[in-house]
Amino acid sequence: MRLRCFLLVLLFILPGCMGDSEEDVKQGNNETILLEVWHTFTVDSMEEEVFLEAISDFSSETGIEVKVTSKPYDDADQQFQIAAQGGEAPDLLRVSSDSLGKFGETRVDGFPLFEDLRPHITPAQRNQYDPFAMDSMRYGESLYAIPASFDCLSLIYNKALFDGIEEPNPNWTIDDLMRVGEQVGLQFPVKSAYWWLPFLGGFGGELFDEDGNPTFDEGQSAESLQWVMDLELEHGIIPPGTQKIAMEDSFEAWESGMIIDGPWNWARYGKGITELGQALLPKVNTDGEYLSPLVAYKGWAVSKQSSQKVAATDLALYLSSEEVQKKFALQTYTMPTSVNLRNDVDIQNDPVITGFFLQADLGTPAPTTLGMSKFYDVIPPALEQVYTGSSDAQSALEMAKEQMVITIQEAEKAAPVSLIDGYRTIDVDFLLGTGNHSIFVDDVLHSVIKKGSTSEDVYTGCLSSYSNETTYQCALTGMIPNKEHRISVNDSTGQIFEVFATSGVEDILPEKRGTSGVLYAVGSIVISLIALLSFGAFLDKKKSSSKNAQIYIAPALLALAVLTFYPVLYGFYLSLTNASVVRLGDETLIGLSNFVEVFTADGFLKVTIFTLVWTVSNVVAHITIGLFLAVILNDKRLRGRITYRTIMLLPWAIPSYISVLIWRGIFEPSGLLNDLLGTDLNLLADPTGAQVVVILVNIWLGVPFMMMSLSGALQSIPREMYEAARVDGVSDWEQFRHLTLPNLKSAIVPLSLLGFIWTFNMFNVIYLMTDGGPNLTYGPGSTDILITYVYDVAFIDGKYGLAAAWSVVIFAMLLLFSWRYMKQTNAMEAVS
Amino acid sequence: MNADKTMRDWYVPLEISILNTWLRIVIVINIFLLTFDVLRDSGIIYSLIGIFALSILIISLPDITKPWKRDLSLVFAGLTTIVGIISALSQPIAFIVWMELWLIIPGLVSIYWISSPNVTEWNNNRLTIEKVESGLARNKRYEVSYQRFGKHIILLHFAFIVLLPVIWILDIAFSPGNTLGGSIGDSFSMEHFKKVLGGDQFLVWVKNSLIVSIGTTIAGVGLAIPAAYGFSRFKFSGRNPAMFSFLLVQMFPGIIIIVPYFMVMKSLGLLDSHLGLILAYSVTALPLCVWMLKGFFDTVPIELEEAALLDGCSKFEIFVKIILPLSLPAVAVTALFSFLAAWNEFLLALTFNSSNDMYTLPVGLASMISSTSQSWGDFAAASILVSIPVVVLFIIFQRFLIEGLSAGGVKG
Repeated sequence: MRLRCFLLVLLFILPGCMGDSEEDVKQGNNETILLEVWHTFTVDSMEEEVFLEAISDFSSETGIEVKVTSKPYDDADQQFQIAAQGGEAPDLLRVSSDSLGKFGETRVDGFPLFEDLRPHITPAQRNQYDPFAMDSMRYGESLYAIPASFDCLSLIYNKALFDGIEEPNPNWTIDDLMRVGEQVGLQFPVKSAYWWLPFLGGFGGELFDEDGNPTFDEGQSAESLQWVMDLELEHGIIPPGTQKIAMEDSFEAWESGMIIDGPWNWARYGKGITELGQALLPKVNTDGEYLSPLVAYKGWAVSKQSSQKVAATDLALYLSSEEVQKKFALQTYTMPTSVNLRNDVDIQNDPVITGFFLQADLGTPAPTTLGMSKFYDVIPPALEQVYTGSSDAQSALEMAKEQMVITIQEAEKAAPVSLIDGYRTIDVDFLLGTGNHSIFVDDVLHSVIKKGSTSEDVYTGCLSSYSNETTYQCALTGMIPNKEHRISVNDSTGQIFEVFATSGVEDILPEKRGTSGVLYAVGSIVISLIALLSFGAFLDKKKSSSKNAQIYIAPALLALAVLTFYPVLYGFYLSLTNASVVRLGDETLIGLSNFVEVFTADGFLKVTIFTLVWTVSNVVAHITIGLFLAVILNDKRLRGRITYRTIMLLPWAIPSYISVLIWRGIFEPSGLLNDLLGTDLNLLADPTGAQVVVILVNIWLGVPFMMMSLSGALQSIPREMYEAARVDGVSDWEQFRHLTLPNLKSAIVPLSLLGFIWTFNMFNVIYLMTDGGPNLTYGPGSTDILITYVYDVAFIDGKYGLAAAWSVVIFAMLLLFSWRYMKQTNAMEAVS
Repeated sequence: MNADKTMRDWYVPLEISILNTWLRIVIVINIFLLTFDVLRDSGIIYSLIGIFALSILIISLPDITKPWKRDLSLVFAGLTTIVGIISALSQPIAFIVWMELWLIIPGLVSIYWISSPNVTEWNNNRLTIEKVESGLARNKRYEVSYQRFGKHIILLHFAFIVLLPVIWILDIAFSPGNTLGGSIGDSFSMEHFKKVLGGDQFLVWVKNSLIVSIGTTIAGVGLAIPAAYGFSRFKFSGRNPAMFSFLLVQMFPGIIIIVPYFMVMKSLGLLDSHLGLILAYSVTALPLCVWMLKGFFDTVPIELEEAALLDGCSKFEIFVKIILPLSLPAVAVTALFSFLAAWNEFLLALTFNSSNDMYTLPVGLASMISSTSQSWGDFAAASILVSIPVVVLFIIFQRFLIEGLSAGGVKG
């Protein structure tokens, strides 16, 4: 009875929930404006504190309410894309210039993710920022964010360890760097592309030419790569296998005197190192170039979906304003992009900030091109090959370049977007006077037209501007819709033009995808399920053995159906479409061609085989060890058994994120394993070694669950059976084989089956341990299993349709296996 | 007289039977340890000789019919010990010594036991029938404690492997600074715990996680129990497809369909709510809960129910009063599983919540780490704090794991 009631209640609740969601919570216009901001600062960090202060200052000045959400740095981009697809994107997001290449080629329902800010800000506002910073926030024509900070690598050293050493000085060379490195130690990850780039630049190489074609195999590029690798491989100055975490640790612990690192770690190192110094990266040789680190920028982007773009832009400008940037710079060593701040007294008094300014001047601003956004995905196999000696630097880079050319060619380009004509702009047309002209809007300087400049480009002047001898026509940017502005122009003689103008052009928001479609789908799934269940009940009406059985299973089945059936069905649908990051929400059916691509993919067999090895060895080990421990611990009089069990539980209880990182540390060259064995193995850099290691770590993680489950299952075996067996003199092993195992079958079968499915689709461990690497070639890496590879296909290549097809293949494999397995084991039988 | 002889033939001193079992295990372990020799690329020859000696030792363990075997076994036990000692002396670092102990100790124990008076007398076939009887009694008395001793050795090794990273995490959490590596136990500080607990966010995350996890446990187990009972006790139309469908949804890689999942949650108005996460996690935990409980219910004899039915109990009463108490171990396991599924989940909690007030612990923890500033110390301290409730919960659940009424219940 109760179950039936529950069912009824559920049925009544569902439509209720559905009704609620139709109302739109966000309301605009007359009420207070609410802005939603996602930031990526570390929680409880100094950066977050400064940021939150700035937000509350903004709120109290403007009366605009701001809701702040922190998103983990590594997940923010992807989360934003998901939210945008669901129509729930926040108004403002902190983005890195590294991601703009990817964002720039993303379209959701035909719209880009971010608002093109060109019409929103005035030339005067634009001129507050370093032109390089401004350029780095662009993708193609569009301006996607307001730059707030930059960072780049530089040399950081521990002065206390530099007794009697003249370097670093402004004229030192990389040979000096090597020599000093031998004396005091030098740390940076040689296998990381980001750390190679300064050397590439110093040796005169370039990533891309002016047309965006890759050129990183030309000139002395290969020499620079070899030089970097040799620091570790040949000269042993950098400890073997140094990774980012190890390098930070070792510098912090005074084990090495120099590190190539960014300003973000300054505060951390400063805690333990009293005399921290910053110096320019050296020259390649005495009269050569300085090393040229990549300068990357972070800024604030406004969502295309934001219904409050004027306010959002104001907030973006405020968060990047001189005042806020100064606070960030002085309190957190976040390097400012504001032009005025370079001459600010407080900033100039800070040697670290000015040091990084100088370093950035020698640096290369990160290009925000499609090629650059693919660079970090294309280059690792080349570095890996040089590192392992399986290829020389020149041919490895040539291979990477070829791959890069192919990647750029094959990459789908998103449809171009155009600005809304007249949105936030007002056209003016006036006769030119003499000298320079200043345009004021509501008495605030908007822009300056310098005498003689004829072609003002869209980023420094006003939009679609041109000037000839007598008249000046211009669309003034940064206007507020439906607000009357007083526009005045002064030349050297005084005011020559005045007009009151209003632009009525409103923003065009992407149409909000209704939720009704999903509701209908979910609703019809539920209704057909209920129909099926009722039909089943009707069929069984005469069987007494199954009276009302459907009611027992209905609640669980319905919960399952409501939440998960639609997404899975949608996944199947996606696999038949050309869904891709360049046209999210606009996919069309293309038949089975995705599947053809899956089965003909180079790595298909390789990755499938490793997935099977990974799954089978894990499940077998989990069950065997788990069962072994469960049986051993099933002895009531064993002393300390609660303690043992609790200890064995720990791998399950501790968040796997940290334990996996610790394991990675243990297997690294400077890790515990080598300390214990007295060896210098680098297992994670070796394909087979890495495979074994990831499997071992996952075994460690998975055993506790199996142990607990089997411990529970052991209780279902009547103790008398063992007593009887003991009286009959049956040996322990025989007892286990003929008594324990058969009785545990009902538990082991579903556990192993589910274990198989989970392990097959286990993402975290491999992602955190090796991220599928080491990648000696293109395609899946040595430790990629299907699921991690699918992740790359979807979120790095942006081919969602293809990724869905891979998923369907995974699904089919698991289905086939499960079906066979259950037939074999009769797992579905009921007690008769 | 014949009976005496049989008895004498049948009797084997405890020492020999234990050696017989454990030496096999020791060989397996030594074969495992070969891996390390291969990794170190040295000492392989010693280990191979050791394994060879151990194998001969097992074959030549004393036997009442062939007294000469005893001397052979003593020789090889000695050889095993010596190989171990030489190998350990050649590279006296802790790990190698531990490795070689797997040769030395079995060797020494074998020598000691094989040459003990008990075994000697038995081997020489000079036992009186009284001696055999007292030997049998002795076997019975000591067998279990020897076994337990072996169990402790095994469990200690497992505990060591389990604790290795855990000790590391503790060390990071209790050390000043934010180093992820470093040596163990060089300094002590509570700064990270103070900082984590002092932040106003952490307690909010704990609260959210507790609500969501407890909710998931209740919902997950509450939905699973009737379903599992239905699957276990009834044969009905659509049963197999229904049971299979619980597995089906776990087969499709979740990360690919996160957007449609998001849309479902949005459509149902469940974004940014505890209820949404509770439902999502319950559904994740359901397949295991249902299958696990179904397997357990299967082992409860149906006769019990029939008897109760005759006594006039309703179906519901039978379920609550008989089936459920008998299945407590499985319920405990599924409850723990549901709790942890919710407690440690990251991606859905991050995706379905867009305000800091709704974040659960894993999401909060992740926002402590950014690519630029890693506060590993705080992170480790938080991880420890996160694990504590799970450990406490587990200690509570242990009772049910042990106290599954099993036999007693069926008898009644």
